[in-house]
Amino acid sequence: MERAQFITEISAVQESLRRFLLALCGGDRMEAEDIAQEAMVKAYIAMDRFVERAKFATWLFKIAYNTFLDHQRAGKIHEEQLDAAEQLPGDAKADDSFAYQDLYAALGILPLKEKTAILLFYVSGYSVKEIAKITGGSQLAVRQQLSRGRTKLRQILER
Amino acid sequence: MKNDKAIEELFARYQPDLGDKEQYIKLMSKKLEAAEYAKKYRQEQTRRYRRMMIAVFVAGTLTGAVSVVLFLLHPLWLFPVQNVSGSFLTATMAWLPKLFFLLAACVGSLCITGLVIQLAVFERRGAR
Repeated sequence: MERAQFITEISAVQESLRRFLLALCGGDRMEAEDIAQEAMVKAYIAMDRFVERAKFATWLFKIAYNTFLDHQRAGKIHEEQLDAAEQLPGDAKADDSFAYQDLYAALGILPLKEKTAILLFYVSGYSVKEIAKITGGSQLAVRQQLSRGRTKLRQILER
Repeated sequence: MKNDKAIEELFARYQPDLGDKEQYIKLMSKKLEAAEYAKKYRQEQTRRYRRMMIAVFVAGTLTGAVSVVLFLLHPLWLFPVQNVSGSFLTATMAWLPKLFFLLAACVGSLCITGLVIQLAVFERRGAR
């Protein structure tokens, strides 16, 4: 796949990916953008090994999720992201972070796997099968994560 | 079910501002160009590394083969001590060819072993 073709593929999926990563990073825009760009570069470099062109988006999401895990392991992502979002200067992006503060706070309560499954399902619109492919788990595990995540979110919403 | 709808609505409202799409794609395009350059550089390094490994393999095989042939052609070199009488120096001198070929055979074998290890490491790195 050539660069122009790759860019076309990226254009179609980048917004969904960045939105997913932004929520996964608890509203930390810089971290989410870093991960998104790193994932896209990794995907571009590994493009020769990618054969199932129809599943490009799933493949890219998998790379992005693994990159997120790498960042988390390296200690680049902290739990204090919400506090940081509150302290952002008063521009549009900070207002944006503030607007979704409740959502980020609710997601912050969920364990990572449940949060990932919920976001991939509701924000990116993936099926259970695709989520299992992205996270590397079984479909049964994803169903359980979704169910537990929904229950916890319901409890938060009812408060 | 009502609550599920509430969750769906919660995420449906989640539309954060991601900035100008075209500008983002332009930026990504530049990054990919840089990544492509880095990839080409890495491929060139890999090619050079492979050529070097082949050279080591050829050198190792030749050295090993020459050593074996010489041993077979001059079997007396295997047991020179039986034919040597006199000083320690003379005995040592008589041993030198054997030592040299033993050393050559060792170096040759080491080269081949090293090459096999390098190839295995290289293949594993490439598969990642």
